[in-house]
Amino acid sequence: MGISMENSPREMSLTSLAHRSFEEMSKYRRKEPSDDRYCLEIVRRAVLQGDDEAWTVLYRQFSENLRLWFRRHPWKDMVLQYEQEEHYVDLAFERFWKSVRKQELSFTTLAAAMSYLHMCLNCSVMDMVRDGTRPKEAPLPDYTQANAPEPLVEDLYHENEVWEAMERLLPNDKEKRLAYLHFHCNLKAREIMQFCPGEFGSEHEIYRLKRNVIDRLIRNKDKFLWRLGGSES
Amino acid sequence: MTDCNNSMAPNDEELLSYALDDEPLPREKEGHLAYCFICQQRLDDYKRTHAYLLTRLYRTQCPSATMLNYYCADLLAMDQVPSIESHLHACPLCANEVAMIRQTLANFDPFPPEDEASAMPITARHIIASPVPQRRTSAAARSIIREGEWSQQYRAEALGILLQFSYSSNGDNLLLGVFSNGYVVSETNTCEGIVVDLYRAVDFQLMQGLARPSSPSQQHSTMPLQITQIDDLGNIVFNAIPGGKYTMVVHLPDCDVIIEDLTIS
Ligand SMILES: [Zn+2]
Ligand SMILES: [Zn+2]
Repeated sequence: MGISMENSPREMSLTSLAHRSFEEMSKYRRKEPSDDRYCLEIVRRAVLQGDDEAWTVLYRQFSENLRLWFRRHPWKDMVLQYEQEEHYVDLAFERFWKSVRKQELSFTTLAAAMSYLHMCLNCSVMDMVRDGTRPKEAPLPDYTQANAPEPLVEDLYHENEVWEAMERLLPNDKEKRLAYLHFHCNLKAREIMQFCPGEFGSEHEIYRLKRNVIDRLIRNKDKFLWRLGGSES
Repeated sequence: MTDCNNSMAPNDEELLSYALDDEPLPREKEGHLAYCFICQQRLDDYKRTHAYLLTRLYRTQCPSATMLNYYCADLLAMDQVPSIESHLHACPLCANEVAMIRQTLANFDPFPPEDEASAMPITARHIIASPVPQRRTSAAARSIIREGEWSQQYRAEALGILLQFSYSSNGDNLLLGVFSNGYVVSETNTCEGIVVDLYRAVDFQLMQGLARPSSPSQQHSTMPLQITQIDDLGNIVFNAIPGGKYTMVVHLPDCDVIIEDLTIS
């Protein structure tokens, strides 16, 4: 009878939980000893139980942190050209919700939950940069015009197969490495010299190797495309 | 592939650098290209093949952003680590992402201060390190310094920086940095873990003025040439740096310190 129900976060109303959680987070912010259970209970209800009201509370409690993390993010300026700050905050929440639910993660400390949320923000920023720098779709090369290969690979190719087919056609490690840096990383000759110091002697060597690679691929286009298609035997 | 026999025809290397890397062609060869069908066809083949392979292969081998974040946070299963590490060794793009993740982890503050500064553009929070005037080197000291070697002290608010450029015995060059404490980074009061980038000066300028990348690869020009972290003794080392002008950026938790005009001969 003397035991207050308030001591068990699972039994508390969302309103009291939100109130206690806010108090405890303020302590945590001031680096005073704090009780994480209230906040973690909100996370549990919001994500694992799919409680919409708990999700609203969670969003309110952490969105400011996410905004501040975003403003300090080293790639902030790079991604702001695609979308506004709010977009990345929302994406981070969405990612948090999905991964915690999917993996049924349960956090034992507030710090762990916040680190995970921070990681979700990082992923959202990185994905945007990856999308933004992805080359636009290019049609299949039409080498001979008159008897151009049918675009049979368009729907059949598998990314790994394209890479493996190309690797098989290239005779030595240097050409493979160059093909990787050019076609997989989209680095120009000058950038290859910068980011891979010591791997190639000069930009001239890079262009010479690249010419070999492209000529070889064009020469072997039938084999190459057949391998890509996989079904045209 | 049919080759053009005209003496003004660009050679394959010239054509490739023109077609794929936007490098200029000599004027007379550009003139030839304007009317030569054979060379135009060759250019077109190069462009199409490159574009096709790029769209099929670009970053197809890269681990997801989540995997790289898990890797940096030591959350990956043991058996997944070797493949990530070998990929990082091969892929400069992922290596750059991992450097960024490590930087955000090292600087992570769950409750960052809500100051105006954090909302300002990053350029407004830069401090340019100022060189500390040096005493003249004695003739005896000069005799042991090789041609092109130098050392310079800098100051940026409470942070003291000594940079020394020299050659190792095998002829490779070496840029050593010593960071003296004074800047309170954490309770331990050290600079350990702070990320330091070395940019080509031209790339750094490009990055600063970058409004919107017009081509996919333009982003890569804004990557540092080398990235490192300050160790527990306050030191950093960059080596095998190609000759040229460089800019160093020290990512302190709340601002970036920029050291300009570094000459590597
Ligand atoms: Zn021609
Ligand atoms: Zn990669």
